[in-house]
Amino acid sequence: MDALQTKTKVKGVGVAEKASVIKKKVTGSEILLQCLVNEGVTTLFGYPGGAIMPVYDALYSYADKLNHILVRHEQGAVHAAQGYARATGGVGVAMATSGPGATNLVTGLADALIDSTPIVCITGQVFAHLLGTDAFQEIDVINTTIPLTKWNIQVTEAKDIAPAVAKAFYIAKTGRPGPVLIDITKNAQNELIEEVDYQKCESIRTYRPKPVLSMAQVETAAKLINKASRPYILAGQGVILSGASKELIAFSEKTGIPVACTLLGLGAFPTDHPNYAGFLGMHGNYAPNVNTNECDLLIGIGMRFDDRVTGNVAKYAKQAQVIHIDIDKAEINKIIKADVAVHADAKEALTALITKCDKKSHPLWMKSFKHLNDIEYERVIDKDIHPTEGNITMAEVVHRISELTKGEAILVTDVGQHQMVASRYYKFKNPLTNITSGGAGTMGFALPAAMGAKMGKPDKQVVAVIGDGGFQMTVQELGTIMQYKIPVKILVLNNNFLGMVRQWQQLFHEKRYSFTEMSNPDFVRLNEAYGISAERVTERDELDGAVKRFLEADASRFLEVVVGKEDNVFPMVPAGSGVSEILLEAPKH
Amino acid sequence: MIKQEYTLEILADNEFSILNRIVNVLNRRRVRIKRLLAHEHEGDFKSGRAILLLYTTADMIEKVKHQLEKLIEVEEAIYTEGSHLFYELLERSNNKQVI
Repeated sequence: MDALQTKTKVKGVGVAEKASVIKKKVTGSEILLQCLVNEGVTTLFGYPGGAIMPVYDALYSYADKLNHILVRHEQGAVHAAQGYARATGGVGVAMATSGPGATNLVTGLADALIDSTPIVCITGQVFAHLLGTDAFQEIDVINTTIPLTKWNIQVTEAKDIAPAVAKAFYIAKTGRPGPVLIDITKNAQNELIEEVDYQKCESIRTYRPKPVLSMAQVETAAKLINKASRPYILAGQGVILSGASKELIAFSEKTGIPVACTLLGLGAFPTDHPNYAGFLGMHGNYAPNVNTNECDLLIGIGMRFDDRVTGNVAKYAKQAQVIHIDIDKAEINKIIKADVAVHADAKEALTALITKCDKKSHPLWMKSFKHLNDIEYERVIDKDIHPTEGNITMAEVVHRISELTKGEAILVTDVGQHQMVASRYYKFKNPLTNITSGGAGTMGFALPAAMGAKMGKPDKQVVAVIGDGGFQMTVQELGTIMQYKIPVKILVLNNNFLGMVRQWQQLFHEKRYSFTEMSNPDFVRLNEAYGISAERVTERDELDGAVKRFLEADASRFLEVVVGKEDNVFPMVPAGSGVSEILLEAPKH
Repeated sequence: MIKQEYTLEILADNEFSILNRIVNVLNRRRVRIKRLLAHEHEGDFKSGRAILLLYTTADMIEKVKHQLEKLIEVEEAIYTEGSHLFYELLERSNNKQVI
């Protein structure tokens, strides 16, 4: 019999059979693993060490239930857990030891918090009696991670492990999702206690993750929508997290309102839909940025008016009324004052709005997007994706991958120029297919996140698009890909520069390229050393065949494409400018 | 924007680190804490209250209220203008009255 038995009230599944009168004694470590099994965890990413050895010892007997992936660095574990969560819509799990093991998770926790990614991280901790004594590998992980987690807890007794895990999963996945950390002292991991019934958490007294939809707010919003002549939807990741893509499409089709997506919102609305207006933000499309300052009603759904979306707030959509729909009350009026705030889950709000809003169309307004799109196509896009001479561009590589995968792959991007290019030119069709580090902008995110995504969605083509800088930040995870034969595709767009920083140095620092040029190793031989087949492309006429071999490979494969050293990403909203001041090319002076 | 004093009352579960969590929210936004009173609820060590005298703007106090209410352990954060309530509650606390 399992150490723990699931007793859940969810949907009346019922109570499992009663434990025998004399209960078996089990360790805290085994309780932890059984809790994970009961929460539906099948895959976790981790790295062992002294303070979490009892858990790893127990894990040895759970190989048939829990597929533990041994990463090469704890940062790889947390990003892999993020990738797993973002691809599956479930909760990712990462595990590390105390001290440096725990601090190596910190970047991923920060990333998951700002990008609303549900993960549960488990760290070992020194024995409880050693807490605060500067014992070997003791760091105060709780206070270190308070600002970077949705919730965290230290457990010092085995009896508290099951309730902590139950709360952790509940908190991570409900409301606005986020990262949770459980720090378990070694004595709690070793402690023998009687087995307990596992009870999933269904509520916490002080936590109200799901706001009650106010129909008054919905009706007020609907009135504004019904009378607007140039309404405009900005869709963020909240649409994806609430599973509201279908509702968003239905709402847009009924009301005739164009939909633009934020970086993390890409995939929330099909890019081939006639109402799709484009990608928002600093390096987004021309039309959605310009028309932000032309609309008469802005409807933000599950997005947070990040500064990369708004540009200079003082110049942002001053002419428009604003409806802001978000599950997180703290996001409403945080950056942009809302005329109507709908504090709600996106799916519920959209479902209600569909019934309250009139069927309409806005042909002239839609035409203005087309006109601006045509300008961007002629001055930027066509040159980017169909260059006839000069170096290979990042855009033509992404464009070809998008065509060959029909926009159906999971695209995992790192941070920098390649990220913006990939977001501009990959034609996303579905939610949960765009995985990138948005708010935190974490270089090194993509390679481990792609591993996690592939583990979560083994039947999907998973393509990591990375720059030469970011690739080398977590390159050690090639070892994980090798060991577990994870068939992820790794594309490095190599300009031998930290390209985005160099672009800013060119445009705003008089070409003073301060420490941005990189001498890189032979990436092909590096991958081959890890047993990953690899290819390098430098000429345009080699590109198509190389991309096909890359995508058609059954196993993991690496493709390096050497792109222009000093190519820039445009359009661009320069820092401090309004969104309508977006530049289509570099100023002449 | 004009800064002024606000009394902020926070009702929360009395978990380890709760004060750190509260202070983190304020420090991150550079909200000045002039005085702080924190205690367990009488006869109920599982919940408690923090009362802070803050010096900030109307916009910021509203924002930190919502950020504080995002903390899992926080049941409610309520603010009032001025310091009157803070000193009243402080006096009652000093006199060991239930506040």
